[in-house]
Amino acid sequence: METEQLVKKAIKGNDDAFLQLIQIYKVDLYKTALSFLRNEEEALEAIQEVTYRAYKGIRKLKEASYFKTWLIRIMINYCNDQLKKQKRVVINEEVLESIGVTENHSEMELRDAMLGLDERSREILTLKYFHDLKIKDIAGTMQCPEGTVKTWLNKALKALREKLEERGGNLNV
Amino acid sequence: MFKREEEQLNEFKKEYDNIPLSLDKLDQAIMTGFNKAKLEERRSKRKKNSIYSFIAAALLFIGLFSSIRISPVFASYISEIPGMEKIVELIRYDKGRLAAVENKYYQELGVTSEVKDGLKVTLDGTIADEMGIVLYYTLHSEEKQKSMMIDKVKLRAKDGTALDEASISYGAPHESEKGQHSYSGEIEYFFEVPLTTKEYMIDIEVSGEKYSLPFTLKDFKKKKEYPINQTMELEGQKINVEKVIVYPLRIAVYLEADHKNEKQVLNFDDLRIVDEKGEVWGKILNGVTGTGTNGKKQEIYLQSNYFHEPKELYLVLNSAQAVNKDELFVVVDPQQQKILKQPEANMIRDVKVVGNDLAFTMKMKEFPYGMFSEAFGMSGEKIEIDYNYMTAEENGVSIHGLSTRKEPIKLKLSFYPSWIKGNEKIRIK
Repeated sequence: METEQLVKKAIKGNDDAFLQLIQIYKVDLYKTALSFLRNEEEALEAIQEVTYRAYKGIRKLKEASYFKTWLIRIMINYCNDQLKKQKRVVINEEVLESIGVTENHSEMELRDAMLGLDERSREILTLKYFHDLKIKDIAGTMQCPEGTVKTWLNKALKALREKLEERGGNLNV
Repeated sequence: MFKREEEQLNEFKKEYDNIPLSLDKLDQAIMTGFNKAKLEERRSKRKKNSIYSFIAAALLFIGLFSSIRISPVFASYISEIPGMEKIVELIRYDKGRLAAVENKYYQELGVTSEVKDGLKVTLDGTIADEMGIVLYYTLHSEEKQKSMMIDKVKLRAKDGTALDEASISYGAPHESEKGQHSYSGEIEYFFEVPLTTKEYMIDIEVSGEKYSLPFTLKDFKKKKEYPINQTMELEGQKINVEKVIVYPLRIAVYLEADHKNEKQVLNFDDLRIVDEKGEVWGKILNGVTGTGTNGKKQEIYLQSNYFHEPKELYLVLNSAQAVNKDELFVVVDPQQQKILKQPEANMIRDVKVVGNDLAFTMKMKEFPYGMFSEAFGMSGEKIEIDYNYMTAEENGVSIHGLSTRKEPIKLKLSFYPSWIKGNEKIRIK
């Protein structure tokens, strides 16, 4: 309830309320960024950009209770944009190595599978499983019926299974 | 159905629960993003304010949304004239202009320009008197526009009579996020000497095209003049009121603060006209609020009660902004971002330098006045002020070339949140 009060204030232009909200969700935002992007540096840049985008857009947020979903979605959109840009950049060996060192195998596997999905599936799975958000809230922020979100979620899980099996299969050969 | 995948996703999430992170760096990133957004916000607000500051010196914009009482007669009158609702919208914060419409002193024009580049201009109507012309216009665009504004206006008398303009205002840019086909606004002209002719031509420039529209004014209603020659006094500070002139568009109060006063009166905050029943006509809320210089002869403008015939009429004042005459300047050190001197009321809390801006935070919630009229170097050389601006938290001023200045600067106050109070009431009628 208290958060919702803050959100209402922030929508009206209260800067302190806005900054408090970002404080509440900064770790969630950071983890999301890290799950999509390559390293700490990029994740911090993402935090910066998302704070900026959120501030500029908060007046347009209609439903205060969707704030968290709304905010995380800004981060996901930002990360998706970055991923598109990265596809054009050749990853050098150093980066590949550092990923290999810092992350364990299962994380790598799922992460790669996630990054291989389409944007919508990746978004739905991140919101639902990474942030434990309710279908209702996701539907609310995306302005579509809950049924649609459920369909998307099923498709996303199916696609994820396929990706994982693809990899698993390769390993087993 | 997808139990295994869901478990894996949960595992994936847990791995991020213990991820090392630097809170300092996170906070730094948040503040960088936040400041970037604030800077842009300030810039866009400033843009708007700088446009206002070209319009006239003594403009005061208060987003006051007062409800208007509409009589059944007035309501039916409004519905008779096409497009009247949008004009009522424009004048709803000015009782005098509403009364002018109600008393059929509003004159329909309905003059439309030719279409140029998908755009045309209509003069919907006017309210005018011997000292001023207010024109209501609509800009029409074939395509939806998110933003439109008049770049320039020029009024000419058809017979070539020179017009001695005291002030011209043609409003802020019109904006709509969704985009609109038309925008309505007002153009206000006030003059130093009474108008002698009735036929005019106005050139309106929008998006690089010029539209010329002719119009002819009806006969003006004559002014009502009340000589006063009395003195008002707030906390020992004397204000000599010479006369009050009531025009259909506004009331002009002619006054001058006494030269022997210890304090300089900066603003007559609640100067107003009250009739025998207690009905009040206050200051102009959106437009030119006064002319003249503090401490010299001044004219203060109030909403007009021209169309109201009261038995008695009073001029009332309770509160005015004032500072000691030797405290008229605020001295700021831009290098240290410090206030070196300000009036004893000590109402400015802090100053920050952002680019060429001095951003002041006040000890009060809101002070919607541009505080400074002039800036000087310590040796007295004048420095140009680009504009004053106000946001919810800041009351700022942009000083030309501030970022390269090392020396303190002196800012002359035109408004300041310290008041003298009293209970002054002068009978006018």
